[in-house]
Amino acid sequence: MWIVCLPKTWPRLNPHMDAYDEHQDALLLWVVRFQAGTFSCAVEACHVKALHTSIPESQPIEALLGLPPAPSGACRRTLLIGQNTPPYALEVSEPVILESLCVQQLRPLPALITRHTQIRALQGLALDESAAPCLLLDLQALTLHDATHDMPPHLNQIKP
Amino acid sequence: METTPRLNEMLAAHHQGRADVVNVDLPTVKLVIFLLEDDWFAFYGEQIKEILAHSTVFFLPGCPPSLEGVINVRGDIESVLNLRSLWGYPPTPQPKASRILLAQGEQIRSGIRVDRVEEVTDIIENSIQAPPHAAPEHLRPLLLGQFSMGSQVVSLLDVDRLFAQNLATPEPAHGRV
Repeated sequence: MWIVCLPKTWPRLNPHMDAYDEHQDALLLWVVRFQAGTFSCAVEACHVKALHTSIPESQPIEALLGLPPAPSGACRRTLLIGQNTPPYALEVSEPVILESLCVQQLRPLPALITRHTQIRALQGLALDESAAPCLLLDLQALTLHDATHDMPPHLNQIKP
Repeated sequence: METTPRLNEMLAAHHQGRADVVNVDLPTVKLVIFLLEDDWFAFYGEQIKEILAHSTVFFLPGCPPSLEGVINVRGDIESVLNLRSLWGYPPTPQPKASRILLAQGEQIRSGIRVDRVEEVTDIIENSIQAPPHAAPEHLRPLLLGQFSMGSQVVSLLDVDRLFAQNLATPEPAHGRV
């Protein structure tokens, strides 16, 4: 098992740190992007504490989004999310990447979609030039839906 | 002997004849006429901003069948409402002539999928009659009137009422996260 502990201040992960521009950074949203079924999804990186190899007890993202389960051979990873302990374990499909979205890429959901979607965690969309829009998910809505979700004991001890 | 009228005289006579016609410009409205199967409908042209032929619709999870997904219109994300599904027409493969009408209501904007766009035309306002009492129940709240076009009866619908009706539809009781 490997663990990546992610820092709290995401702008520091900017590869162009030497030319760090606070104003420019305010226009960026750092996200952790992953796959859920055929959909590309992203959550705000500041809420992600760590990235694990897949942990069986974690909650598959497909179940939360009402999608068919991932095929058994799929490469899976677990995101530990949430500011409080115990963190919430969310299982997602690879590739899992950290990236910045510029504010011009972000779009609110159209009114009819907001009204009718059954996925309350769906917060917005990020435009991709050549692909389907990325689904921006609200981690609070994702984690609050399942108050009884118990973390595996060994995960509770992981410190960011 | 009677002479043949000269060309100038003939043209002048013709001009005089035209001048005698009373010019009655009746107010007209621009309509976008479209079909769902064999049923003819129309929206006011001022409410339809674009007719999109080849937009890729991106499906979003968790939406009802009447919401096909979203389209990217030059960087703006718009929903796509499928009238066939909304009004209970049997599902069929999407016809080649299918189009998305980009409709602008007072408050919201959305694409509306139709089977075919027949025409964008000007209709004399007076030719639009009051909606019939026998209109199908699902159309009654949306109907502004009816008019004839050749042998067809066209139902004129209100985009704002269509959107308002969809926004007012109760949310499902058991939502996912």
